[in-house]
Amino acid sequence: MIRLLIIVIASAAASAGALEITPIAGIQALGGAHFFRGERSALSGNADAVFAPAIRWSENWALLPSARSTYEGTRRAYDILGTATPAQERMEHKLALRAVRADPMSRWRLKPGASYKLSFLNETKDEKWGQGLFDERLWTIGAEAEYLTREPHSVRASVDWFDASYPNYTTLESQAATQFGGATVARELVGDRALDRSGARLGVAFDLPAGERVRLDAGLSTVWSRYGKQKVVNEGGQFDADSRADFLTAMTAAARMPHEWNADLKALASLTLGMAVQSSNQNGYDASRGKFLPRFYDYRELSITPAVRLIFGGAARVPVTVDLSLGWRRRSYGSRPAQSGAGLYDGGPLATSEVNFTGTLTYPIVKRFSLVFSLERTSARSNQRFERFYRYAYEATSALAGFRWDW
Amino acid sequence: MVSVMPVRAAVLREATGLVQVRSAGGDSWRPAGKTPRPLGEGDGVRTGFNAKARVDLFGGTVLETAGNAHVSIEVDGRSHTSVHALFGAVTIRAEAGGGRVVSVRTPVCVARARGESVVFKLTVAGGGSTTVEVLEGVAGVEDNRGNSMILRKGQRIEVDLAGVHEPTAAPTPVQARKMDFMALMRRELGFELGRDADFAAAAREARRGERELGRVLTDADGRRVRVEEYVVRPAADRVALVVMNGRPDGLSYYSWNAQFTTTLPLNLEPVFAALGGGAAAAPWTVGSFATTFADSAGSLVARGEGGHQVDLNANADPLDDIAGTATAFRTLYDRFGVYADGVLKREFTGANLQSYADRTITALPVVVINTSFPDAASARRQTTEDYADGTKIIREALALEFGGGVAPRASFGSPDANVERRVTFGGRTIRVVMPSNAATTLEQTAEQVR
Repeated sequence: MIRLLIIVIASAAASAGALEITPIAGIQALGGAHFFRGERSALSGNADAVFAPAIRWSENWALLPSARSTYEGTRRAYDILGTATPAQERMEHKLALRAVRADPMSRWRLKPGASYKLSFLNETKDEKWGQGLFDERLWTIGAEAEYLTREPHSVRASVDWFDASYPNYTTLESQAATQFGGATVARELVGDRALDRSGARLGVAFDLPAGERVRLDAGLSTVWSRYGKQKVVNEGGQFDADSRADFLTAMTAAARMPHEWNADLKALASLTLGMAVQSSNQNGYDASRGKFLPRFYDYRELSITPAVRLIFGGAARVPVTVDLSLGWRRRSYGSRPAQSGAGLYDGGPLATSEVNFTGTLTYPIVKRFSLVFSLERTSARSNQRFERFYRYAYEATSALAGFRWDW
Repeated sequence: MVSVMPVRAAVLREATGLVQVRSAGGDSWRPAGKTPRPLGEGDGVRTGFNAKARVDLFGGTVLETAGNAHVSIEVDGRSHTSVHALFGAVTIRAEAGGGRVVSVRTPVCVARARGESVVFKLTVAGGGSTTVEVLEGVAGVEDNRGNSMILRKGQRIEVDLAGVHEPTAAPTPVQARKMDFMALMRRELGFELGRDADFAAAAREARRGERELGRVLTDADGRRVRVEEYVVRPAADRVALVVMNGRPDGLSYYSWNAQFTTTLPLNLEPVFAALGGGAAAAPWTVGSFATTFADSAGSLVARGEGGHQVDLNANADPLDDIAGTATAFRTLYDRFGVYADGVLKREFTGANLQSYADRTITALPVVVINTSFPDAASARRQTTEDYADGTKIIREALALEFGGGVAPRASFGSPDANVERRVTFGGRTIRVVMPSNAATTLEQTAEQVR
């Protein structure tokens, strides 16, 4: 992928006389702390940088190579906080190449593309970069077709094939099968790289005006993942020959409407509804109790998020903005029973709910450069009382401050 | 020679692509049809994608629309021509001499020609926000609040619900082309970055699942320990519960491997529930078992054989009675031994034992067992077995904090705390973090026969 990117850019540079290269870039750096169940993490920071030298290849074709790097030392409220550990940091690097065919005489735009992403996740103090258990390598290749309905509004459909691998993750059971030869410590059909998966993503999205002021946008996407080395667990706690396959489907719909009180105070309000459904053929098995948990990973999730962007300042300068959102989300595992504090399966289906608040102040200093202050808070509740491995009920807060630069 | 100003209604002079017309007061849009076509006040014109329309207005004023535009003619007379632009881009070539007023109204402003020959372009976007750009002559722009601005050739201004912004120099065609391209590429970059969200969600779910199953824990030293707990069923009457741990320095495990006297059902839940004993004899009896703590260097194994169920409340030993129940069935074993790296350290034997008080302890090195809590503040229990031959076996149980480290003393027995078991013998320590309390139940036999 890197070579391909270099070749493309070098080819573009070689004939630069005929090409237009328009750089797009942005950097955001924030420092702060994260509070989880009353315990404060060490002061750390988050950074996000993106660079994309857009290339106009011809009147109809453009290329968009892009590179993005992120570092997260302070956890965000939208992460899976139930896994919080005191020492946790994440780093991601992504290279992508997207070609855009946009014939001015046609309503259609076609966009083939490919990307490669490296994700590093350190969760404990003994893990080093590149040795994290959940480090991930992700390849994608696909295309998007866009149909312009009423510019800039459009309908988009996309398909991607992907391959995700976890180079540091091999099941212990598969290692034990060879390391303790002769002992009864592994099941037949056990796989090694049980988290590696490949599959496809399909997406459809559109946006359109509704009346003079309201804009609607909606999207539906589904990711089919096949875990080739992870066999399905059966009622006896053993493996069947079938491999695990998941469908994760997400749908969002949002309405956005601007409003102005006077020349110095405007607002953009939005209401977003979301739904997600995961369907998996994989089951669970609580070995300590010999309890079979069919369709362990299936769930449905609903969310609603009203938000508003307040814009202060007239036309003479870049405005100060305040973004506020309050989200509610509920997830129900239809087949997974909730457990008591002692681990007994004596409840109804496991359900979790979250309330999230996010507030961000963006204060421009000079053109393209702004100070950013962010506060995120999440409150989670659940009927699951057994929290030995994963926290289902917590209060978490992230407070961050820093700057943003856009080109 | 006297020039005569033409007196006629507006005319749709050209229509390229999809162009529709709606008559004043009408509800339906109809194809423009053949041109030229007369238009009256109140008539609307709209264009489709990549379409174009040209309307000749009174006095030589010309209105041109690009694709995806919507306009209507409000007034078109000798002294005043006014067009309402609702959406899209329109260009006006205004002939406004002799006191005529030529104006274009949008949802947020009105633009008027100031002079005889003026060319200006308006682009109306969603929400009504408008960009006015003067290509020739002078034009005035007034927002809905009454604020006005004069624009000259080469100037442009943006107007929205908040009013007029500061005028800026209109971009050259090259600049405009570059800005359009940048806007398109920014949009595409947004799509590219947004596409990640679906893949990130799938990865989060994979990680979350591992966590919820207790496969990723933090040990007493704050280090990552991977845990897998599962059952192996090598035969219809055998089952092994295995707790496998993985650390950077290798694997270690605990296993309870049992052979029952009868075939086991597919569903093991009632079998495991009955292992701790009950008021009635269980349908399944453990005939023999072996509990193992092991790593790649060695093992500590406890073996029991000759298992049979006994009602402890009905035997001759009052000291093993279970209070609160008339009958209390438990499995007792006739032979039991502890092996360190395969070497027998202690054992007992019997024949159809009804109470462990009747067991015969085989003559092996003298063993002394002591239990203590070496750290008053921590949930750490230590049991030491001292043998006369100088060897020692130390067993420890430590309750763990969620994020790593040893929990306070009060956390012993808490369902929220994982337990790390350590067995030290022969100069090394085997450490196993247990994700459940199952081992405690399974080892009751061994605890009873010290």
